[in-house]
Amino acid sequence: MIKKGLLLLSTCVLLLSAETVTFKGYVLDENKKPMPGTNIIFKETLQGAASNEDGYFTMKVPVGDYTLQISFMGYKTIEEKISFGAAKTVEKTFNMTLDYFEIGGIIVQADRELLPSDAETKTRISSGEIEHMQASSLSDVMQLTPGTRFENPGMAEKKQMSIRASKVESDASDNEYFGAQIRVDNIPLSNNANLQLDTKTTTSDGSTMTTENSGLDMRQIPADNIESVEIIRGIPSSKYGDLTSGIIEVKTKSVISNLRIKFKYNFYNQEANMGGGFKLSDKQHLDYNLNYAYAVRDKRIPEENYSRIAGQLALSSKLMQNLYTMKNRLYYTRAFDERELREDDSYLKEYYNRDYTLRFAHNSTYLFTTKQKLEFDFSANYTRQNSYRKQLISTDNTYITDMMEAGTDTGMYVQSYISELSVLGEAYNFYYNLNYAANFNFLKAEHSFLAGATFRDEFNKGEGRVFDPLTPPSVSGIKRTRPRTYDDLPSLTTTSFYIEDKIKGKFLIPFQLNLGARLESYGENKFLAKNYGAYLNPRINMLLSPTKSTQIRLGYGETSKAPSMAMLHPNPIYIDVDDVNSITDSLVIVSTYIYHKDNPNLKASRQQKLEASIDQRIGDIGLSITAYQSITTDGFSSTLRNPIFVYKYDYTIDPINPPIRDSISTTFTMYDNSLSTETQGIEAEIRTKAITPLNMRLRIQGAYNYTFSWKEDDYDFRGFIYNPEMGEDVNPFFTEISLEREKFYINYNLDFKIKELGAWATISAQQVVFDKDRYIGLDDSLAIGYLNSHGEAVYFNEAERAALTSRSFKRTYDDYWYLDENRKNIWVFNVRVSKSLGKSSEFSFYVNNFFNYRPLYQRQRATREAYTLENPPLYFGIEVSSKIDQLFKGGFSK
Amino acid sequence: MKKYILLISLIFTLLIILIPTSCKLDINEPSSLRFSVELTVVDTSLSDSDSLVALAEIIMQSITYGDKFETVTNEEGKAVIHNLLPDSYNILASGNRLEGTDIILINGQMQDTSLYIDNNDTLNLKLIAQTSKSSALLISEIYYSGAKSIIPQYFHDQFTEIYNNSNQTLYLDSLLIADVESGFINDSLIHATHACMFPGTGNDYPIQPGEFIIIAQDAIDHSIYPVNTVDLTEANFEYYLADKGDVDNPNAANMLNIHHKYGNDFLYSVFSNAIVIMDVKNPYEYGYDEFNRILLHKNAVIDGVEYRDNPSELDMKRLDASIDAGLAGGIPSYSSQSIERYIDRYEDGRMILMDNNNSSLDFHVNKPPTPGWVEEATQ
Repeated sequence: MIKKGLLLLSTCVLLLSAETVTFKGYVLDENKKPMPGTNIIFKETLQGAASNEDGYFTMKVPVGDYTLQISFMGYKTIEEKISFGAAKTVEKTFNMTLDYFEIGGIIVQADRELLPSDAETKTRISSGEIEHMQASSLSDVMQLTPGTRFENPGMAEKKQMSIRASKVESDASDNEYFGAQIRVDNIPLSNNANLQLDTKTTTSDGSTMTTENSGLDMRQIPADNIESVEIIRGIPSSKYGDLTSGIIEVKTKSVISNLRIKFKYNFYNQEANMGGGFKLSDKQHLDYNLNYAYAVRDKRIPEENYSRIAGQLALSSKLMQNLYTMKNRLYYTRAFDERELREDDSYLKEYYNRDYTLRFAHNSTYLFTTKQKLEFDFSANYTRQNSYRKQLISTDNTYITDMMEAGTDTGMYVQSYISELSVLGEAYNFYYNLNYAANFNFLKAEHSFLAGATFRDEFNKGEGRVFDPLTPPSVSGIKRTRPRTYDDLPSLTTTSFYIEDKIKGKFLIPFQLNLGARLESYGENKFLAKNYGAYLNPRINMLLSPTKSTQIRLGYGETSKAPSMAMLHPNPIYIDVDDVNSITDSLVIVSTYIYHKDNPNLKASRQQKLEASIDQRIGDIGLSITAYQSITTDGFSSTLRNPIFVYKYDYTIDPINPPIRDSISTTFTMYDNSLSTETQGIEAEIRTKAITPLNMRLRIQGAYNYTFSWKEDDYDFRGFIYNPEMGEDVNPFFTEISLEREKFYINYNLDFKIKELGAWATISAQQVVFDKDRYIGLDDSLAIGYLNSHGEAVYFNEAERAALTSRSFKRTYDDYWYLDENRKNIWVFNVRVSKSLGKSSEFSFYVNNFFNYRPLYQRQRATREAYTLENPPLYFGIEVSSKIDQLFKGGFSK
Repeated sequence: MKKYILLISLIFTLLIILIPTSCKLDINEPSSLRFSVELTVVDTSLSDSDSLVALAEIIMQSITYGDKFETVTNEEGKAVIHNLLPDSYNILASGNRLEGTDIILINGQMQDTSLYIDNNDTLNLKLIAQTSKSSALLISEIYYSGAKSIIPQYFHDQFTEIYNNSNQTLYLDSLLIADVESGFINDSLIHATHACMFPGTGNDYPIQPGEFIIIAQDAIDHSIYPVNTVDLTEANFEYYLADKGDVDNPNAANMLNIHHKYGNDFLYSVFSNAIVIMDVKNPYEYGYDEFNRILLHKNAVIDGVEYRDNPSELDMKRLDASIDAGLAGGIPSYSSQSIERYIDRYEDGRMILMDNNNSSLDFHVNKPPTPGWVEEATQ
């Protein structure tokens, strides 16, 4: 490996010393004015430059034949063959033409390719589309991917991302969210060190507020500063690790542009944004963005609100004759998710999550030879999480102790009380990635070779769970909780190495083959630690083009995802047992037993994904069909464990007349790798080129998905009941019942982009063709085994199972449990319009569900008649934006 | 100003007159929708033939409009109720007859019965009643509502009071108290979330004629938390769950836990529930249902009382007419009120509590709760 590198290095030194030509160029725009900041690159060597203020650039190029590429966002890329030979100096002028038009700041991009050019299945969403749909956060953007049900934009509730899976069960969804990686400017964000344990309080609307053991809350990422979003649903490149379900790759804006301000208003959300960029010197520019958003879930309940301040600074530098590019970015997000005291709340609940994130991200690229580059990404992320829960704990009369160590002491009696819990987490995530890329020709094929290493170090140094042990946040029988600090927890490390070769060539037909592999190891504290598992994940993507208008894509890949720190280091259980309990004497003597729940055997979860696609172009119509299957194994599952048994001190066993209950017990759950999820599906897309004269484009996306999730060693425990035949208490357990779901959604999208009017209108419709689910495993009515009164699991063999007669070991389900829920043929229609107001301003509005079609669906699996209201309510919002400098400068600008 | 008012009222009057007349053209004015019901209460328990129950108290309530009609059947066992609107009705009938010296209680209920007849006619309705006997051992008071205090809700002060209505000493040993899950009224089994058994092996816990005993959720002085509640330190029994961190008063005998589906104590619902006292030989005989509720046979019920926050919701009942044909309650939650039996009469100085096996008739609301005694109340 090192030898090869040296070899390549020496080759480039040779290349550098070869005869060179000075290449000078001018880049002009449509109006023949110089264009600064264009990107000039030789495709073969990756040697590049940027045009200066006068649209001028210069490079020293070795003699040879090249393909020159000049690009600038929103302009048509120029690609031309160029040969350098005898002449010492070559001078050329390039005219860039616009590839987009602007609606007062919204970039409306031209036609997309009818057929995808990448082997991996992805959806690319541009800034224009994001602004046009008036997204408030990254989560709203996700609706532009097939298979996502239309919703109204908003930030009142936590938003997490799921890619190609239907919701079946909460653990499966959490895995789905947790395994979806969000990358911002090449840096993966991580929720691994989130330790906001036990604050997943259910709010009045039924949602939960924190995201430990699950995916990041996407509300943290404002939509307004996004340049583009790429949602990779297929097999990702081996560059990407620590994920299972997919990737959402966000690029924030980094261009020199005028200050632009924007206001968004809809009934439940308000948002203001300002952003721009300016030049510091010839080599450096600085971009900034500031965003404020406020949302309520229900106008009548102003006590439940969310507000967010997000800011970003980005410094881009080109140094060493443009060989070295560096971007340093600073992100800051402060989010207040509040549930203030409501007047009528008898539980006196006051909750909040007040979090802030400060992240420094560094990307640098060094073209250290003409065909090779070295990239280095570094990020330091600090997230301060402050979850506060104040509420009335309405408990049975009970006793309490504040002992922090195991032992025996007098306790005291308590009744319902007000508890205040603060969970203070300080999550640190460090990310280092070194990436080497080289282009070369080998065996008549173009190779783009990648190799790299990634190291992640994540830990939490928060004060932890802070509360008065005499007014704890929960009292559940003898199972109690105590304050806890996160200070001394080990860090979670991920070490990965990867290689990838993208081969482009022709063997009978043109093909593109991406071969990659990634070695990932997850562990504790150290570089290369692997106590949570080490995995070799192959990734293969292939693109074949049998004819000019047909291509076939095939892919297979494996991925893995580290367990979270909250799964590895859950709160210990304190069991407080009343050895002496006499309320009339006010005397209670309590013994405390501590059970640590550290989970050293937990491993990473894994996913295998298989994909096949056909893309066909028929005239001006492009058609793609993708079939996929993914299987998650070793998924994280919160599993009920055998109970812990403790004995009161005066306990004596009478061997002749053993008591019915010989001890007291409590159950608990632990995370293990017992979850499996299978998803299969077909995605089909039809898109047209612009149809004149209205410049109309039609896109139809159909997405069928089947999801089934099950747990290997998880049982349906029925609780301890007395079995008269056996004369003891038993806890029978049965197989788990799993939900299976299949759905088929079709999105219709009609776009009119009319440059002459400065208008962009979109009518989109979604048809839920069907969305059904049913329970699997209801017929298995006999117990697999039971826990006896000592907590030991006893399993039945097949013969014993068949012979079971006791009612304790049988379960039955009413007929309605066997019914399918099936939502059929539900339509929703949305319309969005963006219109320029003069040269530099714009006005947009949308109306969602404009027919206000909200059918009632009668639930099948219900004891009584029950209905749900389908579709989001009719909803609308507006947005105005303006480029400030131009607004005041008036006619001075070009 | 006056002019305007006049003008406006004129326009309104015109509108009111004009609009109906213009509509009248194509609509026939309906004759009154009201109709009458002739209700016959039938007792099928006698072998010879269906006998009609005379002097049975009838309560009929419209579910939609809440109209309540009360009457008594005549000597022929018939009662006529006029002026009914078409609706779904809950109907209760409560009577009795003598069989030797025994009083046989006759109770019937019809729930959610849709009644309608055309043309001002009289609808004939037959209500089949069930017979039962008054029990010697009665649930005389249930305090389930809980109280408000500095904390908005407190419900650990709940208690059940049991009274010996007979002239003989009875024994509580091994009797069972259970709560009844809804939705199984036509099932011969009771589905119970909780079941607790009195301790003792036969003659350990006597209850004298005219004696009250108290079963507390927690036998402590609750008035130290909410002020307007009860002191239960003197309760005879308490529910105690050893593995749930419960408090224990050693002076109150602990009820034995037979089945406990959830919760940290045997908590009665503060909204609606039915409490039964049963004589069960083997509580595990019928096993459990699919939701881990214990099954107990209805024939073993000694006495049962059903309560509900809205006592007119007879269509939601849990107990059939042979146990409790009515519904007590109608108390807001956390209001420090209990339901308590009326005093029927005194026999040789011994108080006899009312027992028609119909808690709509037998119970009244009591504030504050009276553990260990009965408040004089008139019906």
